[in-house]
Amino acid sequence: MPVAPSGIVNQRQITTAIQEVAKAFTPDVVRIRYALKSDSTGSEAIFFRVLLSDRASRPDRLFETAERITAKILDIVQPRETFGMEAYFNFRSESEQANFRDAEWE
Amino acid sequence: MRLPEGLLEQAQHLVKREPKRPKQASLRRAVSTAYYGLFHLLISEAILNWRRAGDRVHLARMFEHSHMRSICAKKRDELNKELKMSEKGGTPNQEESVNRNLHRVVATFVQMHEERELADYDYSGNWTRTDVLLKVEGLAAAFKAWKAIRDEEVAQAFLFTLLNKKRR
Repeated sequence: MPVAPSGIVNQRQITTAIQEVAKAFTPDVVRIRYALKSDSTGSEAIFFRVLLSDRASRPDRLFETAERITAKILDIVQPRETFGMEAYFNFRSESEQANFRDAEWE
Repeated sequence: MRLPEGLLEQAQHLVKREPKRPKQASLRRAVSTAYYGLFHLLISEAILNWRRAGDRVHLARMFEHSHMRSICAKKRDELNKELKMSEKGGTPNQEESVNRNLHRVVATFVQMHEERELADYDYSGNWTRTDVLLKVEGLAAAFKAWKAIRDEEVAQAFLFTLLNKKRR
């Protein structure tokens, strides 16, 4: 599968798609961010960061919620099919982000 | 308890080891250990097909992380296409159920291989319990999925590809 360098990936298309996902999962999803960079194989990849509400991060709901969000992002963004890029996902709760204040999650 | 299940249990322990303020070391080791659980699960299943039991430990050393990852990624993409076709076909059948379980195993391997690289070698970024819990739960789900299909032809054929590099 061809790999598109990040320079020619349509970032507006990705941003619009993840906004759509975030809206569909309100209030569980607070926001979604992403970064285009190389993964450990050296291939361009897209790394999604999904900030969840504390309620959605409760252990009894977490797995099922995250699976649905991941599936929706893959379905709408289609990183492999459209851009030939692997996609990776990280999740954290609002409380955890309030503690770390990591800029890339803001 | 076999090594793969032991590693999964250890990952589950590590992610909950410090109830209030999880140490970054515990979370990183949980991710890495969980990945190794799946890595060893697949290898331990594959080498069972070698009839001479005494040689199995040597055979186990022939599996390579990056090759396994690329085979898993390829299988995942194949299964994605098949599953999309079968979704259009209507009622799910036994074959689709097997494919879904195998898809979970291979997709989890690809994800966790990357996460393990980050957990073991990348100093940037903070790990959180929410994220690591998800990854460890995902691994547990992959274990369960594998156990549901381990005797299926498609699963056994997949195991062989993990070792086989290139035909002459």
